[in-house]
Amino acid sequence: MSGKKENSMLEIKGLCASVEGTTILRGIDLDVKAGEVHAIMGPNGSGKSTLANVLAGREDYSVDAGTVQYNGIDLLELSADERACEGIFLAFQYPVSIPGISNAYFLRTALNAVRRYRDESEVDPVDFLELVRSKMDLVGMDEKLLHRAVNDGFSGGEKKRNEILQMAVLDPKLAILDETDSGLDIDALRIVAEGVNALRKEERSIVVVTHYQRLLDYIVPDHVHVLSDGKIARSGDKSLALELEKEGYSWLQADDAKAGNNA
Amino acid sequence: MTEAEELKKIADREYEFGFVTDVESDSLPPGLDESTIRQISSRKDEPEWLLEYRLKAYRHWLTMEDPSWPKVERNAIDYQQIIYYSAPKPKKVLDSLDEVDPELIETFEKLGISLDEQKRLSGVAVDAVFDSVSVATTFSDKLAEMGIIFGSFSGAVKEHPDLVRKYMGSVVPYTDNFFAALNAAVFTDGSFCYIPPGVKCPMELSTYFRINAAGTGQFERTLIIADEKSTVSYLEGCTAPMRDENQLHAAVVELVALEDATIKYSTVQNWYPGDADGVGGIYNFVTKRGICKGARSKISWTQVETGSAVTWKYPSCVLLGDDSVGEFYSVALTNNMQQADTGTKMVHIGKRTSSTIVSKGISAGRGQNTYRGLVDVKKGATNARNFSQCDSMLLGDRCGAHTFPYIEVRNSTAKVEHEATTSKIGEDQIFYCNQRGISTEDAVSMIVNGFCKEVFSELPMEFAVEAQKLLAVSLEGSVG
Amino acid sequence: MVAKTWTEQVHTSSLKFDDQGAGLKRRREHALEQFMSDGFPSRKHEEWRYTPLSRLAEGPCSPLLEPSEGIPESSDLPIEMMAKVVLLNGEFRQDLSDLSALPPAVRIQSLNQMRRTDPDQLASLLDQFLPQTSHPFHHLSDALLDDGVHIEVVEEGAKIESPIHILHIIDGQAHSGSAHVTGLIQVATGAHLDVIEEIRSTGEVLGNLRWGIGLDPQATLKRVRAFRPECASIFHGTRVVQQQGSRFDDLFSSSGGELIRNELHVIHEGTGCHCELLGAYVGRGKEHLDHHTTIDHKVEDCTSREVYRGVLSDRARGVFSGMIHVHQDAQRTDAKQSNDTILLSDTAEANTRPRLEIYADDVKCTHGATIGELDENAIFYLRSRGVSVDEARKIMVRAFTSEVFVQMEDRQLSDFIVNEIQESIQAVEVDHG
Repeated sequence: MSGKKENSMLEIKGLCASVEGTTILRGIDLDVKAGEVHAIMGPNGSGKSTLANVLAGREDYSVDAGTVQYNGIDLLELSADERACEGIFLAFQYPVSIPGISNAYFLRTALNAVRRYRDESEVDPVDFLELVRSKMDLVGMDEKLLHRAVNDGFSGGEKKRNEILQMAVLDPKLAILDETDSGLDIDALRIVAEGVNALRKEERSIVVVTHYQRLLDYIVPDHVHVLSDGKIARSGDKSLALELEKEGYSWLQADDAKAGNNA
Repeated sequence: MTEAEELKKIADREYEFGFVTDVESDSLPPGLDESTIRQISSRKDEPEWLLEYRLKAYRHWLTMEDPSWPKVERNAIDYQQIIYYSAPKPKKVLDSLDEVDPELIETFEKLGISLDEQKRLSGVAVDAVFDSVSVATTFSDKLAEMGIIFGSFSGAVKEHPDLVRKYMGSVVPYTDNFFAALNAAVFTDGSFCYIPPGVKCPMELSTYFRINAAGTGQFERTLIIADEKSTVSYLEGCTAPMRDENQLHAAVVELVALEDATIKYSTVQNWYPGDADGVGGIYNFVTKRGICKGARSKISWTQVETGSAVTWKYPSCVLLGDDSVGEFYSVALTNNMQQADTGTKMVHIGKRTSSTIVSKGISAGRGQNTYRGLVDVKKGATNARNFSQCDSMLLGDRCGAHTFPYIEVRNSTAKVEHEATTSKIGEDQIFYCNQRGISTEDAVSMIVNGFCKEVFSELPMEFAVEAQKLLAVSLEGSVG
Repeated sequence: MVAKTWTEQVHTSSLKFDDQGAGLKRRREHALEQFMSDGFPSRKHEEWRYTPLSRLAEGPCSPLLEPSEGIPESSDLPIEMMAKVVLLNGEFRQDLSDLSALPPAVRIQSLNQMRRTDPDQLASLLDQFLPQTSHPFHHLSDALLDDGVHIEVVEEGAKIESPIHILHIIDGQAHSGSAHVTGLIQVATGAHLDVIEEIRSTGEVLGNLRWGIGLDPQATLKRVRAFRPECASIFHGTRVVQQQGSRFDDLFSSSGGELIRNELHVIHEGTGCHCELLGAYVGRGKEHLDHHTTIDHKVEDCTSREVYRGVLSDRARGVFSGMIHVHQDAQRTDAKQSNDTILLSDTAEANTRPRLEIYADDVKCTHGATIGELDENAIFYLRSRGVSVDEARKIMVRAFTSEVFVQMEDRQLSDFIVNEIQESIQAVEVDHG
């Protein structure tokens, strides 16, 4: 761990990434300290989800330049499962279904993979069930969902709650929530947000990727960054989100146009 | 590890049951003619009628041609190079397990099959067949108290000749096909089971087949008769040593379910599949058929096919009794150069007969996997029902998955539905698992198991665990 | 199996044709030789196991039909057309056809004329689009090649606005016999063509119709087939080769016919092709309706949809054998196939073989098949609204078949065909069993 930035958890410098030859991220710099909540906002196509997926190690994205330090290690060197074992959790915008495999079995397999990586003993099914039950209230999830196949036939709300339940059980150091609010009605949104808030703690950082400000009414961020055309266009505190809510994203284009004229 | 590397690793896996047991065996020289059959029959001290049956079958076999219609490529079989009889010595009748060659006991221990009754915790009665000869049957005394006959086929020929004579060949006549004829001529042993009226067999009955000797063919026969209102669940497992040659396994299984009887027949087939280049491995050409003779009877086939170089089998149901039920649940995995052409035939004759077919094919490496099935609704089968679901999964771009259903309906009140899908493991599924800390290897194995779940859930508990493990090993991973 | 009448007739007839070029001569000689040695296949042949050819093989239709003047009475299809091509007993009849409104972008000529004026080009087109394979009806059509039609959209990007109507009339009133027609259709890059093919017949005849179709990149061809023969045996084969980004839509419908064998072979040679094969058929009496389709997905990113629906009454028999072949390089193929059959009587029979043969891993392929009776719940629902049982059944049959036509743009024509299908079912008493 670098001594200079004692409590920096995630340090992104000049990150450029592309998908199938199309550049999406064009030099991202971001510093997330332990315990902080950062919101990444921006219009569609600005690269928000790409950033989330690159951090989680999705193979379809290629990193063309830049570095990512995570708790002092080079994150880009690790495979997706190693990153997960190191404590990075991505709550998917579109959680994937795995027919035939129960939610409980899946989560226990994941938990034990993480525990093995940390040289901890595996959890037996009985203890596991106890652990999961204790977390289920957090997101108000029905136990029946545990025994259904992973995300198979789940409603939009059920899928998102399931993501937060997985987060609670896997106990990550850095959680990235990718558009967790999309497709949720206001009640479901509140339940999911409350679940996330309950998981806020000193040692855990959370990066919230969202298009709308409304999620941030519930999960109040320490920092807000606005992504535009693959770069962070502006950073500020939570008031920036409120500003965006009022003015929308059109000023970004105006700024860009200005920047273009000046150049 | 990337998915592509993972798939390559899967394709490179090794076979773990490839050892050879060093036991002395009593074999006939290779070759087949009438004298071979007479010798088999005399060594087994068989009655005259059975010898006659064998000879009739042999003469019929001579008129038949080695079939070429399955979608498989294989070497021609030289039937004069096969050893048709090989039995571990001593071949005298065994009174207890103590008399079984310790090497044999050890072989089965290695395969995870305990023949020691005292050690068995769960109640599974085992008939162990080694190179076509039944070497040990556990729990047969306890079963006999309930009137259940369970033991070797040769034993049944001696002790229950009337039952054997009445039912043998009644479901699969020797004229049925080339390999059924060959089996009828040269079969050496197998399992026999009779459940008397009204008896629910209290434990799983299991036969474990092991081919050991080189150059031999395995030709066993299984006959199960469930009398009125009886129930039985039967399990079959098989392994063989690694050898460069192709060994032929041509078995016949006949099931007879009388009124209100239920037979559940489960197979976990793990014969040696040959090496990565397709050298060696078992040719598994098996005829399995059950007849639901009585009203409301039910026959359910479940198979997990992971072994053999070439598999060619269609466990079938003839639904003769009114309201009878046929089921076929299958998982077939082909890897490396393996080929499987498997499926079922559901022949609806009785009224309100119903059948269900669930087939899951997984192709990896250069494996070719074919589902071939027939749903045949005859004129009198009023209100017959069939539902078929055939799903294929491809792992890699050099394998093949094929679906050839035949549906023939001659009754307007029938309802027949068939669905088939083909898919690969989604990259998004693997990434989702990875993101939760699960390695790609484990993710592949998990997703494949999920794909097969409907079939595994049909297996008895103990076998389901074994099947999942086997699939995981076949996919070079571990689940659970 | 080949009856002497056939070998004699075909041999004599075949030798009467005088070919100008070596290519045509070679094709004819080869086909004749093949037919003489193979004849018609027996039921043991996997591809012919359900097709009853024995009556045909006896030979009543083995002589070639003479030119005819009579056009059997039949209501005309309600279509506005660009041009009309009439093939009477296999002969392209300029006098009955109407090509006056044909734009210069489209060329239509008779094969008989091509045989005389441009035999080498014809031979090379035939070799390209109808290569000689081992198939009894192909042998017959090659051995007896006399006339047919070549339709070509020559202008790139030409959108031909209204359809070309191809009318086959097979007249066996005077005596039984057969007519053999070969057709070729080529559509240039980016061009669009609509074709409506109609078959009418009288008497005991065999119509052996065979098409070779080539679609250049981005070309589209929409074909509607309305089979309205009386009691004929119809063999209808089509082979389509599609280049990049082209689209082929085919809608098959039949009402009537003693024995109909409809074969379609679509080959996707260029990436990004799409084909849509739809079919609706009814069988009554002792009719036999046989559908064989093969889609060869040879390259990446092609899609296909196939829906065939049949209603069988009396002693009719319906066969559907559909193959989707996904070759190793055909990644991202998306193919869907379904066949649904309704049996209205206990003596009707349905045989279905939906087949998938797949050698590429990144594909979406599904097929489904159902065979059953009309939905009793739906019939009950209709009855509860005051509809009689018979009427309810007819409505259900109509609903079942007309779903196939939903995508057809020409409402007038599709309604006409649906009506005709429904009427042919009404011609027999709907079985209540």
